[in-house]
Amino acid sequence: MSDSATRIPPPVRREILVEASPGRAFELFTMRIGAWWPLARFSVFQQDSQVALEDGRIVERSVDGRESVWGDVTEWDPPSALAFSWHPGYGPEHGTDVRVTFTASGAQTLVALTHSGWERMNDPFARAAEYENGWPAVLSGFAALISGS
Amino acid sequence: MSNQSDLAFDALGDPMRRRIIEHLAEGPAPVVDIATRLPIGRPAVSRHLKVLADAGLVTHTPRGTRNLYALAPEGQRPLQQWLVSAWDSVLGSFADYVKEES
Repeated sequence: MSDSATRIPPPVRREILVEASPGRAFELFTMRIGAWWPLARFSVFQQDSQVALEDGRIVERSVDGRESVWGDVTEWDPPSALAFSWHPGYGPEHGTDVRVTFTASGAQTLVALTHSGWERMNDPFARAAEYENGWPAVLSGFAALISGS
Repeated sequence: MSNQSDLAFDALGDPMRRRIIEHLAEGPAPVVDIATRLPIGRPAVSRHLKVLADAGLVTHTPRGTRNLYALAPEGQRPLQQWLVSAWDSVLGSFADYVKEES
């Protein structure tokens, strides 16, 4: 098992500057997620779905009524921080962690995102079997490579 | 998105290849062992293994007259790269939207 520990990837950290105050950026990031999230490229259902943040959950709905909960909000600290579990295509027991911070930088806001928690992704293949692309497939691959000895 | 992460992404898009990865997570194995656990023949398993190897997810080492397949030690790297580019796309999309709304 000592080998498996070395397989756990480091957190993914990305950041970007946006043209708004932290408060405005936080509001648009959360309440308007359905307007800006690139669903055509990153979604579970892959076509004509919608995504929204409601009741502390990020939920994608397909046109034919299917629902996928991508994650649950675990930290809500406007305008500076937001965190949620991340398990698109999986059950919450295999959730990874995403945290986003909003920091003023002059007239702009630095939006910094950290995606971590890979160690909890063990054996999700069966649960992800119906999804053949996108986040679920990639996270499946991660999970298998992490669990491999 | 780098070419290698594209390949990894495509390689994992096939359920049978995901099962092969899952099988190899238990330990290195030759083609014949993998084929006995799957509803496909050895030639098909070999083809899938080639796709996985080209994507950097699987390695093979000669063992006698046959190859022993294993998960690549650096196999997470193309997946990590995919996630990096995915989050960059997501954040880029957000920044574009904020600009439009300002």
